Amino acid sequence: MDLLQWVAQRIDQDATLTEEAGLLVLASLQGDQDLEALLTGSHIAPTPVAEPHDAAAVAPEPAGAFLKSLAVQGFRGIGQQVTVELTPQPGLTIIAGRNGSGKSSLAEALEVALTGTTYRWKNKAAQWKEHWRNLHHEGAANIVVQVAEEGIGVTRIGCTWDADTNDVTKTTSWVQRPGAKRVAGVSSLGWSGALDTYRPMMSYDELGGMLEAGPSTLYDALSKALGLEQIADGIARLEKRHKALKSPGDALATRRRTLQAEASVVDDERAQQASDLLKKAQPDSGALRALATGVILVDNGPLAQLRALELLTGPPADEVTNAAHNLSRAVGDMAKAGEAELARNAARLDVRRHALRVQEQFGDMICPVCAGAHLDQTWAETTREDIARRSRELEALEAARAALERARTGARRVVSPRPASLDRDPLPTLAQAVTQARQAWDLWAAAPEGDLDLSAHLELYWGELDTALQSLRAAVAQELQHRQDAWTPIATKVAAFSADWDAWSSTTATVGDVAAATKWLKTNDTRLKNERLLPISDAARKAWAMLRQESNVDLGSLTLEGAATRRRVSIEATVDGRDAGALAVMSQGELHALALALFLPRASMPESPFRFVVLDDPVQAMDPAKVEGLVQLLAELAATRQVIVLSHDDRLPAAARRARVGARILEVTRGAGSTVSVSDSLDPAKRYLDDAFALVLDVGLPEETLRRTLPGMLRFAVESAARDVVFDRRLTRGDALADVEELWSTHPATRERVSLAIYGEVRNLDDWLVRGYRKFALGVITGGMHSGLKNTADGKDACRAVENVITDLRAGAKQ
Amino acid sequence: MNDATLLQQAQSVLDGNAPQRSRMASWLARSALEEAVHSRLEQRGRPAGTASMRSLLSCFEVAYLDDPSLVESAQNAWVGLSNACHHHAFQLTPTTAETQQLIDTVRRVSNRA
Repeated sequence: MDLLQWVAQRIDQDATLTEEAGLLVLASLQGDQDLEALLTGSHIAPTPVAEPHDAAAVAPEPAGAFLKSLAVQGFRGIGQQVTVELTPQPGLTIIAGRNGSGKSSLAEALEVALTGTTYRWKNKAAQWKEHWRNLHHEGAANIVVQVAEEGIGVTRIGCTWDADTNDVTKTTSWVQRPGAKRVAGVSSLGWSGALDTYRPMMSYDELGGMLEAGPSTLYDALSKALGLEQIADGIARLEKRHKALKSPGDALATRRRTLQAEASVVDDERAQQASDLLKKAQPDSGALRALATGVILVDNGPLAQLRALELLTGPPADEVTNAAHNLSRAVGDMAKAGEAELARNAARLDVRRHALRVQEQFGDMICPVCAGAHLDQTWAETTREDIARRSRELEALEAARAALERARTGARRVVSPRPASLDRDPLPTLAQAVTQARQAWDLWAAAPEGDLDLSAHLELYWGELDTALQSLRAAVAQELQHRQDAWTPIATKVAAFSADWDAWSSTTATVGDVAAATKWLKTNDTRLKNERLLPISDAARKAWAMLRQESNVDLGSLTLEGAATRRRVSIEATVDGRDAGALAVMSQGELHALALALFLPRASMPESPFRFVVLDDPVQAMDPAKVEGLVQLLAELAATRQVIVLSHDDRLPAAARRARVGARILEVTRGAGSTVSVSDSLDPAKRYLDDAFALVLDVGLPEETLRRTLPGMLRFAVESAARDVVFDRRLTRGDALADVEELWSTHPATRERVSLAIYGEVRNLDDWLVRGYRKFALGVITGGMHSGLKNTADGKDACRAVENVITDLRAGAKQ
Repeated sequence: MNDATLLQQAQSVLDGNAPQRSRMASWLARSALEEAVHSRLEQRGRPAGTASMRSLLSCFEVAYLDDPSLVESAQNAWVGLSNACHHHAFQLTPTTAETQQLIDTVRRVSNRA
């Protein structure tokens, strides 16, 4: 199953993970873009979540490639061009040859053509790499591989070295797909990752190296094949995102601390308050912003007093002057009017008012007071006028007195008491100025009682006060400016910080989700990997069971453990039921068998685009019993894969021949001057035909048994050849294996199968059967199957006829 | 002697402690397999005569087309036992467990009779 669907199922089953975090996990596995898209909300990836019922369903295999041929020239042990024709279909092919026959050169050529290098070269000295050229061959070196790709057809992959280069890396490689232009390089195959991941080509060295290279190499090899790197990539992606999302927060925290430190040393209570606010890991950004913008005033420091002092003034100069003048003038005016005069005048006025009343009541008479003048009408009139005038004078006097009172009050008011702001020194630096101002004010406020003294006081002390206040204000203003200079940059920073903090705070929910997703993927990493490994582990145990034969080492489960530099594959092994722990208990042969058991399942994974597995000499150091087991294992694998085994050890072809697994055996031989030739030694049809001839020649076999058996044997031979032809042709032209298998199984009749081989379709065979041996052969294998070979027919003739028919089928003879 | 008796003998030899018990048991099991193949071919109307085992296994393959695993067992057992019985320069004596496995395989071929 696709890793993504598979993880999706596990996320669904895990209630502890939020939906957002779950989506993030899936997006992280899909790639950077998906994760980015999900985080920025540009689109919500509708993740395909598999139906739970679907869990066991097997995903269809991707289109795969079979090897069709390999042509090599001037490379390593091969001089003149040699071509190995392979049947591009599932099946076991053994390429046998003596040591030095050139078969490993073939395997290496294939590996170099597909991957650009070979395992053998990776850790070798330069000398080794330089002598890859065949000494018997002049001119360019060439490798051409043909592969039959399902849905595409035959693709040619080439690799050429110029005649004059000895550098193995200086190669020109190309790929040519059917009906398309030749493309330089092999990347257009899209196999570079898969070749590494599934490793369809393995040599004895490499198999041995796999287990010896160290636990992390094995771990990587398996995790690649299982697509587990996707999980590691997902974790890396999430961590990167998390860091990116979190880093503003980290940066902000750093900024906050720096700012706090910066503010704490500024002698300003706003800075102090900002410092206090910034001490908190989750600072109140609202309060900080208000502080920075001055929306709230701070009143717990000298600032308020300083502000008050800055504005502190004495009474205005003109007011003081006026008050003083007014007062002195009023005093003068008052003096003019004179209190005593007024009193005397008033008393005289009273006498005369009484005299008037007497005159008015009693008529004219001699003045009773002075006994001189007459109190007559004339007197009366004169007196009235005089009284009126006198009254007016009195009023003026009273007005002068009121004015004096006012002037006095005004003067007193000007002499205001010392304001509270001067009560104490706000700052030591200002103490002198404040003290002077305070003293000046105290002198000013100590007004004398007398009006004229007061007036003189005003004139005398105002100047002093004003001067003191002026210098105080200047000092305070300087202080305030100083403070402002210190605070402004802090305030700016605090304002900026608050804005950034708020912006970042709004993303913290996402950060939490990303953190949860990362955590989930990390915690489940090992579990996910091992669940994923289970099929391989099972296949490896099964493979081991077949390969071990006689070994007393039992293979337990495989588990991926640890991470990073401590990653390893734990292989549980028991000897006679006792835990053996490590691989140390295994013999060299057993280790190889184990490596095969591990890597055949990997090479044959459904996800691999390769339908072939090439093993170069896997049998070395293997017990005979294991060779039998290997043949069985390979035969099983060959049911669905094209298995190609190169072997110098004739035990393998012998075992394959004996075990009748339907193997095709090719023989590689070398003549003089690096002339390598490859010939068909055995294929299933030939094997059946050989067996049929052997039956005929066996004089001990009762005639009855021979006649009942021979048609069946010959039919196997014909059907096997027909199958080869049909599969070869159809897979070569790009048909999907499943379709060809379907076609084959839906046409079980021998005639249909022969027709498919000759014409590519089912049709009447009469035209083809005009040749006598064909008709005879077909009669034997169809009619004789149940009734047996007719008494009139000769067994050897039947075999020969079938042999010819098989030749015709292979040649595609329609006539 | 029929195949069942031969198998019994093979088993008791293997369970004993004779020095060459694996090879001896293999011989007996191989005979049992021959008997079993003979009798099974007979059942399908194919008398064995004095034909070679190679011929007989070919006949067996055709006769038991309907039971591929039986054919496979017979062939595997034959290959394994032949290896065990013949002395090959590059092969060592089969081990007890290996021989046991082969005996069990022969028993499967025999038991279906």
